[in-house]
Amino acid sequence: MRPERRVVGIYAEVLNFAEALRRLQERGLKHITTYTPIGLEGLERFFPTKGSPIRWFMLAAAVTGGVIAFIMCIGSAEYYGLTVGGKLPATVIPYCVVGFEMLILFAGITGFFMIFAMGKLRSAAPSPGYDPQFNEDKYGLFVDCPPDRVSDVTEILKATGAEEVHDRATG
Amino acid sequence: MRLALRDYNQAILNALFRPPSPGYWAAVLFCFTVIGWGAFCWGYQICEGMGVIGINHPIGWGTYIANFVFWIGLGHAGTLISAILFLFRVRWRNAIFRSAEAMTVFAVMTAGLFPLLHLGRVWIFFFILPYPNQRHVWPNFKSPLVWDVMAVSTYLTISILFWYAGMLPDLAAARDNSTGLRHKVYRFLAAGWTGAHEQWRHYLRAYMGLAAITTPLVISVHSVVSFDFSMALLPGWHTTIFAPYFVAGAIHSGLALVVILLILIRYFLDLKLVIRREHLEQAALLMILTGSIMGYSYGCEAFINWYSADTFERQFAAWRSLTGWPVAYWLMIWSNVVAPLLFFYRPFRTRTLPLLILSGFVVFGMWLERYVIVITATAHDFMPENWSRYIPRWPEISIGLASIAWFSFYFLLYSKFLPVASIAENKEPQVEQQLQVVTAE
Repeated sequence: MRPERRVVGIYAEVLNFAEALRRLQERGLKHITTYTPIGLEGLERFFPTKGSPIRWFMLAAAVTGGVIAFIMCIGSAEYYGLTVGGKLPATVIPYCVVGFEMLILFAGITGFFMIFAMGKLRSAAPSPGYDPQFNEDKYGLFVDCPPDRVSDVTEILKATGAEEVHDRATG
Repeated sequence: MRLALRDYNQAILNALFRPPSPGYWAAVLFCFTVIGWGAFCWGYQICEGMGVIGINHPIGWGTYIANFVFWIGLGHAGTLISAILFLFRVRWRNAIFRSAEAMTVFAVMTAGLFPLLHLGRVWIFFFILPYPNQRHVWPNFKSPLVWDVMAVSTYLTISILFWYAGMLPDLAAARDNSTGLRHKVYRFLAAGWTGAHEQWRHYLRAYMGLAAITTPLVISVHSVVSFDFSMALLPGWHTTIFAPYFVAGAIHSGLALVVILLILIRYFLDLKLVIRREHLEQAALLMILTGSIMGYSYGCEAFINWYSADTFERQFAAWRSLTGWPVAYWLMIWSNVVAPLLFFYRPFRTRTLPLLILSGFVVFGMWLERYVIVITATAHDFMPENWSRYIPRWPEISIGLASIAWFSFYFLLYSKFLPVASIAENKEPQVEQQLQVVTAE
């Protein structure tokens, strides 16, 4: 069932924020969104999804780039078929440079665009509820829950030292 | 003095939003004027032909190629500081990597101009790109010049992406604190960044991935540039030490320029609390290491010239260092190897003036090194009747100076329109220190 209420807690101290996350997780609340001024890899254990598949996309792109480079170089050499000094037109070693550069290029471009695609970043205003303080020194905790659990969540947020606690309907 | 988290936003965004002084606009105008003069010289060269510059048989590569190698080299410290030190979790990079990355992007943009200038018929530069046409894909992929194009264009692309990706959280901070047109621009650039867990989760992995691929890239780029020389059979060029020697030199010169730029930034943008003396000191210490690698490389090169028992190598090395170019050669050794050793003495690496002077020596010494490498080998090849000399003429000297203005112009614009230090990453050590207690549980 879709949660109908959103409880927002704003923290000044990262330790309190982490403690609130831990307690909410213990209570089985899953629809939690956090906003932090820096990336906190250490807090990932409080979320159901860990890591990111971006590196696999980058690896696939790297392999693709390298293969395309070798196909391009060997194909070009075979097309012209110029034999110099009795050697075969295509020689692998010099093509390693081109292969390496295209490998890096494809992986880099893919990694970059994946930040936008997977992080759902687009040129628009920040999501509703976002507070510019989250980019300074405050930590935001948005908990979506059914109406009967609002008081439970509010109590946790207040008990863990939230500076502000709001309750509002989810859009 | 240690800043609170919010103070980082304030200090860095104040530097960004403070109205530029008249001196700033005068510097921009001066750079623009010098760039205009450089453009005129280029136009003159196009109209009159390549004869107006100093290159002639047998010296086919002059200051344009020396400048190309020099500027590419300057771009290397940015990636070293941002990517390699990031992978090693070196904390002092946080305060300085943004400007180092900017320096990389602008230096590579500057470097990219010189092969175009050197081409002469610049309007057909795209012939070297591997685009499909009626002749199929036709660049010679066995040529170091084609490798160069691939390496430099890849490096520029990845450097720009890495720079921009690192800036996303800070652009969001700038968006949140700006109004009017600036707000619209930052809103577009920040792409809706909020710092939500889902964004950080993918961002951190991608950033790590970009750092991981940029590290071998930076090693490869100057190695490929060195192949332009070492693949040729000329004494002075044809040596296997060139790749590591070029990479070390590139990082050496780049670090020196980073120090110079950071000193100017912290003074003019009043960022003394963000970019602290210890950051400059660490960069100076790193320069002792790179300078020592340069010293080893010069020594190794001289030893191999002697040990090879090759007549041409021996006579070339003796000519370059003793009779032909002794002033340039020994000045290069002093600037690149001896001068950085003065950083062992603490006041030289903690005080602004000695740091500026010694870093200036290193930048100059590395330019001299590129110049000596590029010019001397072709000027003094196998056949004595072929030996010649090279004197740069006013169009190429002007264009060389205009390249400094071109670089400075972009750096000046950057310093007032983008956050010059990372807001998010400067906060990391403080927050992570507190969090260690929780995550260790």
